Amino acid sequence: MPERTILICRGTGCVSSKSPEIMEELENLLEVHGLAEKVEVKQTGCHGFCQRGPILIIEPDDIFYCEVKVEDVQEIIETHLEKGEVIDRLLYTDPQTGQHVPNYKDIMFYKNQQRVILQNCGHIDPEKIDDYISAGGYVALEKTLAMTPEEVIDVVSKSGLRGRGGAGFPTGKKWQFCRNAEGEPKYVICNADEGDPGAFMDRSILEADPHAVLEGLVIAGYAIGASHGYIYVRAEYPLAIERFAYALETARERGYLGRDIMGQDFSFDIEIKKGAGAFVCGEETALMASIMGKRGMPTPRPPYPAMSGVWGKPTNINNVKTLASIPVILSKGADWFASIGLEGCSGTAVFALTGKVANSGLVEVPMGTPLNKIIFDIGGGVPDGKTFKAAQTGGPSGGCIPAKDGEINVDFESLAAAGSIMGSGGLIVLDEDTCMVDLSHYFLSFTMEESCGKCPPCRIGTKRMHEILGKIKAGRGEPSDLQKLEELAYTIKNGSLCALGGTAPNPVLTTLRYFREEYEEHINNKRCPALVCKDLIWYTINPEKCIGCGICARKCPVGAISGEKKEVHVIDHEKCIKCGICFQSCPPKVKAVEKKTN
Amino acid sequence: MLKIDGKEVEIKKSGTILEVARDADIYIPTLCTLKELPAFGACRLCLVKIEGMRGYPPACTTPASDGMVITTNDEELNDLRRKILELLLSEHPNSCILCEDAETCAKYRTCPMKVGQITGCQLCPNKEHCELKDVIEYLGIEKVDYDFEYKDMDVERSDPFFDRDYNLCILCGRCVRVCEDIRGMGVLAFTNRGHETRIDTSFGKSHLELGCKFCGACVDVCPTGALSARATKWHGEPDATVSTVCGLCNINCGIVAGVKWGKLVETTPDSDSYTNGQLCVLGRFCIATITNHFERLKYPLVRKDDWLIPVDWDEAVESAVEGLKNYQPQDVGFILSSDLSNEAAFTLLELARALGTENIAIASDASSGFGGGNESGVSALCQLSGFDEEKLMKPEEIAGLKAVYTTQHLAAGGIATDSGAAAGGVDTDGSAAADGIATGGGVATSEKPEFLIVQDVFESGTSKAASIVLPALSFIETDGTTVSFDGTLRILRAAPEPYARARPDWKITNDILKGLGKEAIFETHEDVRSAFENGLKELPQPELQDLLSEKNWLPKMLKERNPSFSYRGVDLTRLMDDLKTVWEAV
Repeated sequence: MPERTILICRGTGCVSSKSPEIMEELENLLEVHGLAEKVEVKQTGCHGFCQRGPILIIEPDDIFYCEVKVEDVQEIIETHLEKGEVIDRLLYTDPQTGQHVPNYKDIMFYKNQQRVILQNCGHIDPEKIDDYISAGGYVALEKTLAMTPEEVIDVVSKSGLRGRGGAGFPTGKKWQFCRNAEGEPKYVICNADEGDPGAFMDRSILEADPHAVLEGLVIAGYAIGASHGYIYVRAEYPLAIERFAYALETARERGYLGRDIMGQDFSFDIEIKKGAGAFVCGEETALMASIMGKRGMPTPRPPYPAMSGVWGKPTNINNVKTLASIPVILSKGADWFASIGLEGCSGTAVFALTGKVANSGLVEVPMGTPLNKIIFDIGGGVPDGKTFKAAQTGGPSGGCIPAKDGEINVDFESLAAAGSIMGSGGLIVLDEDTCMVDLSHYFLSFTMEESCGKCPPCRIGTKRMHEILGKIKAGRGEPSDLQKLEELAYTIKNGSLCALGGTAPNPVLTTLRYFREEYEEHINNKRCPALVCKDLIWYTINPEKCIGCGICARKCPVGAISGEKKEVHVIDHEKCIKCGICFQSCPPKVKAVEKKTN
Repeated sequence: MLKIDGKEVEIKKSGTILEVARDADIYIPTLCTLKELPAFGACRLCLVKIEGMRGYPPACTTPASDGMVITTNDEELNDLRRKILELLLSEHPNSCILCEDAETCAKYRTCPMKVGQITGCQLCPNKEHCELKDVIEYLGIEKVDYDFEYKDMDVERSDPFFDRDYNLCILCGRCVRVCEDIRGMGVLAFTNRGHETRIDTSFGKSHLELGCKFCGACVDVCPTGALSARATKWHGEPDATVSTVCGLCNINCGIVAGVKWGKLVETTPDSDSYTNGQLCVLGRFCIATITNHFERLKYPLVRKDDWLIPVDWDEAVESAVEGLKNYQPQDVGFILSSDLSNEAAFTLLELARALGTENIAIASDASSGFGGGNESGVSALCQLSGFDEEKLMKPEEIAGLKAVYTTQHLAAGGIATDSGAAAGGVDTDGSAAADGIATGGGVATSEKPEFLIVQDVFESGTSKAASIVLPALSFIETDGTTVSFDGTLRILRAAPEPYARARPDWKITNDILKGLGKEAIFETHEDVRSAFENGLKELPQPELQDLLSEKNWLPKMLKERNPSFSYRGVDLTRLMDDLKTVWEAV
């Protein structure tokens, strides 16, 4: 038995910051130092704290090293492994206290989470089925096969699990519909077409714990009476696809998949379908069209997929996180799962926490956790002394929650009441430097481009809305524009065919609801209070602060800045293109370049 | 039983809310639905309210079920519909409808300018039957509250037969669905995404390259002027329409002939016919063009001193009568075109009988495609007259006789099939074929008939070699009947006024019969029909019930083979460049 295990993250984030090279170097040097027998190096999936990658954990010491470089490997071996001393400079620094935290269990980012779905992520080798089994994997499947399908659905219903793809429909009920539907064969699909920009929960789970999703899908297949499963993954997730494909292979070898699973009279197999990167393919009916080789365009419901889905047969679709919750529910029991989170909204929620927040990454908390707790206790608050302004949940289809409502519980109903949605779990923190008009313009440009083009409200409505927002940003807004935006939002929300259109106006509606005065400032006073909208701001050099270093003048791409050395410089507004390079390049101690608005 | 707008409605057969409402004469506006096509749910104008259901489900895709309480027409719904329609109109040229002068403009400035780009009221090829306009009028939109965005895409005119102006497209997807689901071709598709979504072909290739057969189904389902038949788009609405059948092949698809200024301007599919509103390129785009073609035979001609001289009908008939009298029955032969109507064929058989000749041949078109326009009828009538397959001669045998009476050009149909140029279906040009029947053809090269009567529709090598030319009207200009490949007798109705001085085939032959001193047996085409109808009924019928019961049987058949592109022995691709382009591609 090795004395120590080094867990090295090989999720997409850490891979791109060279964790494979670090692993190779570690293995080489351990050999050189004669430690190969004593120290095991193990690759894991994503730890969720990608911002600080590459991440390396040494067990059983529980020491967490972050932002490790290949050059650090020698020191880790000599200092930590040989001398037993912790390397201070590679430890995580708490953004609030400035203290170094050696044990990862003490890091606020991890300490305040409750990991259920992500429990294995970062701890097991995703390419070793035995790792998954020793962490309790496939126990749930064994249990399932000893139950009747109805009993399985009953457990899922009792657990209170609701769909994690965004809509929050009770999973047990969904399964029951499909089980009851007439038609053979039936299909179960795992929706891994994670389209929200900035969201990467599903990818990380597939990369770090593919067997959990696989097991969940097999259980779903058993409960529903399906013999065939699909997993629809976007082609932009090559590592997730590779790991899942490998998991399928090993699961088949071990008899967890394929003919007569675990010696029982139940056969089920899974096929991987790669998506071509259309946001709309996350929508159930568009996803199924895509599986069938058609253009990913939604079709109206009814008929619901449970009645007529893939190839016109009863089909059940669940999100990755929903399916990853299934094995835990079956092995630990419905009551245990129901005890987490809120009544009627049990279990945990996984978020991709990003934006203006000190610790960004994957966060799992019980349903109903207050927003502030996620942002401040886990995320470490807004960096650089800025103030928290709002948080956008649910990606481009979601809405923003203003800082004043920060105590809101994060669950399906509360977010909906606030005008936003849970979505598949994007959570973007915004600070005072964010202009809300600019923000909704940005999100709308995404939905506008990703609309499938089928129905006019979404295809044309989002374009018209985007134009009006652009007009307001450019200082050409008129007071009637706000009413026009609200009318358009109504038309798009109520007239669109699918949820893409149905939710597209959310960013505009919520910003209008909570930050209407910001829109009015743009329209009536031609000012952008957050100093973002280019047409409403200008740059000046404060003569009292300028030291005449000339950096800004040298960097200005259009030669708009003039001034003698060691004398105050001036910006020629006729020439200035407001690129902001002078603002960024003025030395932090000087800060003479200032942004202004009316 | 369900309730729509307070009215109790019975669900006669299971279907969508829209179907049930339409059965009960309740109008719900829609732009993307078409009864023949699978529901799509795209235009969002048929949104309704159903008690106990969230939001506004579309009537066209939501199945109707007992006990539903549905609202289809109230201010809330119409307001939402108007807002959606306004969005469509923010990108669809709309001055023809919304301009305050639209009405007077339509009345007084009716001359369309034939420019490619459609921006205003006078420039849309579809202004008289615009479905968008109908819906706008129903909902009562007066102005659009957005800046107009013209998409400014080039009008696509490089493919044969129809123009595509996607600036007018509202993306209802009907063309895509008809091409895929009914025609089974899949030439058209939605491409790009978001606001840039459009209808296009894969990789923007031409329709020709992608195997489009130019059936025109997409043009017919288009609710706007985005797709339009190039030859007829500026004609406007026809003055009159006539339901008849196509006589270019033996399927005899149902067509609606549009007549304006006494001329045939276009033919469109007849959705009430046994071909369920589908046609092929010939029926959809070619009939009007060939009917009005300048190579039609216009007046009777008689050869005098080696020149074919225009004469009046009396002289022509008299010359024919006198000429025929000069020959012994065994030296006279008749060639029946398989494109003749029953009436024409029957009269001709009567003439042969009167002359006492048994030299009869059918210039069949059955070797390619689906046979001539009346392939079944002509051979059935021959059979009734005692000329079964064994007794019939071959056209080239007839051509070797001294006196020949032919009702079609012989290059493609019979005599000249052995010659290289003609065998491929491409007619030799006029001059080469002028000696046509004699020098151009293989079998009859040495023996040109002494006396050749050509009763035909188009000028051809054969007509140029004739002693007497008798100009006939085509199937769309005469009343009569035809027997389709399924054995059914179908009615041909005259649509436009007769072309120049051409006459119905049966009438010409009938006049010759009269001239020969025979009893004037027929006064009208109905007389002719009553003479053979009973006999036809007794003939055995082909059993095609299984085939015809399938709704899309015609597109399915047309996918496997093409009809022959000839009429009365004349290669139609010679008459129409666009058809030639299509022929070369298919």
